[in-house]
Amino acid sequence: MMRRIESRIDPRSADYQRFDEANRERVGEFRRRQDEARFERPQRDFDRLEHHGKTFVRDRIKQLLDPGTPFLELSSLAANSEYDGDAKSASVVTGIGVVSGREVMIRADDPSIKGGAWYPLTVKKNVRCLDIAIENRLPVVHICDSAGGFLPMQADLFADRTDAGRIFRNQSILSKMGVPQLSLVFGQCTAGGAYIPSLSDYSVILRGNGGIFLGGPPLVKAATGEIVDADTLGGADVHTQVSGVADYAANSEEEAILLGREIVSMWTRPEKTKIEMREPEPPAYDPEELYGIIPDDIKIQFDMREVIARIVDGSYFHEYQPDYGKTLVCGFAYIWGQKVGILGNNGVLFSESSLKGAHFIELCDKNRTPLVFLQNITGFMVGREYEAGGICKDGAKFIMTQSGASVPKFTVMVNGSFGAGNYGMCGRAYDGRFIFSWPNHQIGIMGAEQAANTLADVKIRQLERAGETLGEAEIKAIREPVIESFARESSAYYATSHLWDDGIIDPVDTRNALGMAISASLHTPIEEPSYGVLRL
Amino acid sequence: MGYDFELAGTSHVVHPVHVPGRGRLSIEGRGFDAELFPGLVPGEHILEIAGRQERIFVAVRGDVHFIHYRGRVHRVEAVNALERARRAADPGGGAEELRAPMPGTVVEVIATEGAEVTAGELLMTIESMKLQTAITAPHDCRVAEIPVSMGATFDQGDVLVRLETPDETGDDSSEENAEKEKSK
Repeated sequence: MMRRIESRIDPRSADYQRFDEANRERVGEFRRRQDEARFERPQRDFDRLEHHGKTFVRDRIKQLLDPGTPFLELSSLAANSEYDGDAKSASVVTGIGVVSGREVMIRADDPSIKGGAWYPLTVKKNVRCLDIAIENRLPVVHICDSAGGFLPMQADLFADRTDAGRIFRNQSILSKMGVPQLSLVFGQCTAGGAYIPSLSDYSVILRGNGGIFLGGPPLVKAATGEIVDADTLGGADVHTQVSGVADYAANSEEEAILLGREIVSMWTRPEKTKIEMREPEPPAYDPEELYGIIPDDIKIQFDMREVIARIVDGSYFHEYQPDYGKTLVCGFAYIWGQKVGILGNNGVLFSESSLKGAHFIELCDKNRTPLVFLQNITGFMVGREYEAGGICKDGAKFIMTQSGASVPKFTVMVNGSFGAGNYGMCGRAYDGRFIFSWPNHQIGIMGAEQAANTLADVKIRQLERAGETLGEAEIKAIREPVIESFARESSAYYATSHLWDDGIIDPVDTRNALGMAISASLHTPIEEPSYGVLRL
Repeated sequence: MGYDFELAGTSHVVHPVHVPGRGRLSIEGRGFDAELFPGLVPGEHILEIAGRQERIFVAVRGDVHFIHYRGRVHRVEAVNALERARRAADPGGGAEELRAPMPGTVVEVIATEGAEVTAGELLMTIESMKLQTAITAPHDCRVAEIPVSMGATFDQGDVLVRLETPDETGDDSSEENAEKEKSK
C-alpha cells in the first residue's frame, strides 16, 4: 500500500483565503461563459427550431445517453473569441458518453446557430473529435443537422490537409480500423455533409426533416434546370427504399434516437488494454481546496503535490527520486482505479529535472503505465552555467522520450505553460490523447512581460546603432501593445477558442475528466516502446 | 499490506490474507477467519471473527477509525508502516539548512532569527526566472540564522535559512496522546 501525500495547506491562512476567492471568481466566470455557450440563443432561433419540429441539440444528446451516466463534453468554449462570439461551442457539440453501455464519441451539429453551418473552427473541432475517435478507437454517433460549410469563409475551411476533407478521411479510417459509426440524420446533409451518413456503417434518417443530397434543390435547378423538392430528391423513403444511402427511416427524433440506441447495443464490445487497476477511492483531501492552492498571481509558485493530493485515489502517491531534480515531481498514483505515472512542475526545468523526467517516462513506458502531465512551467533554466552543463541536450532527452513514449499521455494545464516547457511537458504538438485546461491557465512562447522587454530591447538597440535614444514614453509605447496582445492571446479562453486543448474544466472536475479520458484511451492497444537517438 | 494499527498507544500488525472464498486476517502473525457484514443502520457492522459474532459501530475520519464495541469507544489509527519506519529512523533534532533551489533574489524576509516557527510557516519569498517561491518551515523548529537579506542575490545551493530543532521533541507527543486516550 502506498503512502498518502501529507498536505501542508492551511485553509485559515490569508493567502489561502485570497486564492480561494480569486479562483471561485474565475470558475464562476467560466461557468457563466459555458452556460451561455451551451444554452443561450436569441429567442427567434429557438422559435425556428420549434417551427421545424426540432429539439435542441443538448436535449438530443441527453436522450441518446444512458440515463445517469456522465458526459465528458469537449471544447465547450471553442470559437468563443472568434466570429464575434456567434458560433457558440463552434456550432457543434462533441464529447464522450455512454450509449447502451458502450463508451462512444458523440458529434452533434447545432442547428440553432446559422442552421448548423460549419465555420473554420467548427471544422477544426469536428476533425479533432474524429482524431480522438481514431486514437482511442471510440465508436462515433453523429447527429447530423448542418447547412454545410459557411460560404463566406470557405477558403479557411475547405482545401487544406486538416480542413473539411479530413472529416471524411477520418471517417473512412475509422471504418477501416473496424470502429463503427452511426449517423442520425435530423436535418439536411448537403454537399460534403452528405458524406457523413454515407460514410457511416449505420444511418437512421428522419422522415420530413432528414435529407441527404450532393446538391440541394436550388443547386440542381441551377445546374440542370430540374425542379424537384427536397423530400423527393433525398428524403428518408428515397434513401431507405430506393438508393440504399441510408439504412433505417424514423418518424420522430425520439424514435430515431431509440432506434440508434438499439443499433449501438448490437455493436461488439471491444477488449480493453490491460493496465494496473485497483478499487477506486476518492482523494483523502477535498478537491475544492484546489481553489485555495492555485495562486491569484501567475508569478507565485505552489507545490504540485498539493494538486496531486486532490486528484488521485486516496491521495496516495509513490514519489520517484524525491531528492533529485526537485523542480519536476514524478511518481505513481491511481486515478479512478487506473494506475498512472504523474509528472508535475515544481519550478523551472533544470538538467537534473529533465533527466529525471526522461528516465521516469521510460520507466512508465516499459511497465505500460499511462502518463499524466500537470503543467505549470515557465521554461528551462537559462544562464552560462546551465548552457555549459548541457541543458539543451538534457531538455532534448526529455522531449525525445516524451515524444516517443507509446503509452497514452494526458495533459492538464494547471497554471502556466511557457516556452519549451510546453514541449517537454506534452503540449498540443505531442499527440497526448487529451489536454484539459483550468480557467486560470496562461500559455505562450514567453510571458507577456518578457516579450515586451525583448521587443523593446531590440528596438532600443536598433535605434542606438542609428545614433538615437528612446525616451521613457516611447519605450512605453512599444511595450504596452505587446503586453496587451500577449495577455489576450495567452489566456485560457483564447487557447480553448482555437482548440489548443480539449476544453476548459473546473479544477474540481479534473479527476473525473482524467478518469473518463484514461478509460477511453484503453480501447487502443499500447505499442511496444521505442525511441529515437538520445544525445547522451 | 503495509499498515500497522495503533490501539491505545500500542502498534499491532494486522493484514488480510488472501484465501479464495473466505475472509482471513493475520493478527500479530496468527491467522483468524474474519468477515465484516453491513448492519441495518449507517456505521453498524457485524464482525464475525474466530466463530464469534460481535456488533460494532465504526466512524472513520481519514486514517483514524473510532470503533464502538461493548459500550466503549476505541480509537484505532492506521499507520503506514513505511512512514513509521522512516520517522523512527530519522535522528531528528539538530541543525538544518534550507538552500536555494535555483539562483535568484530575495523578495521578502518574513521570519526573524530566534523565532519559533511551525510546519509550513512562510519564512522568506525568493524570485527566480520570473517565478516567486515561498521558503517555508519543513516542520516545527527555531530559526537559527538568516544569512541573506531582502534584495540580495544568491546562487543555487546557497544557504537561505538555518534552522534548529531541539532534540527532546520526537516521541513526546505520541506518549501524550496515549495518556489522553487512557484518561478517556
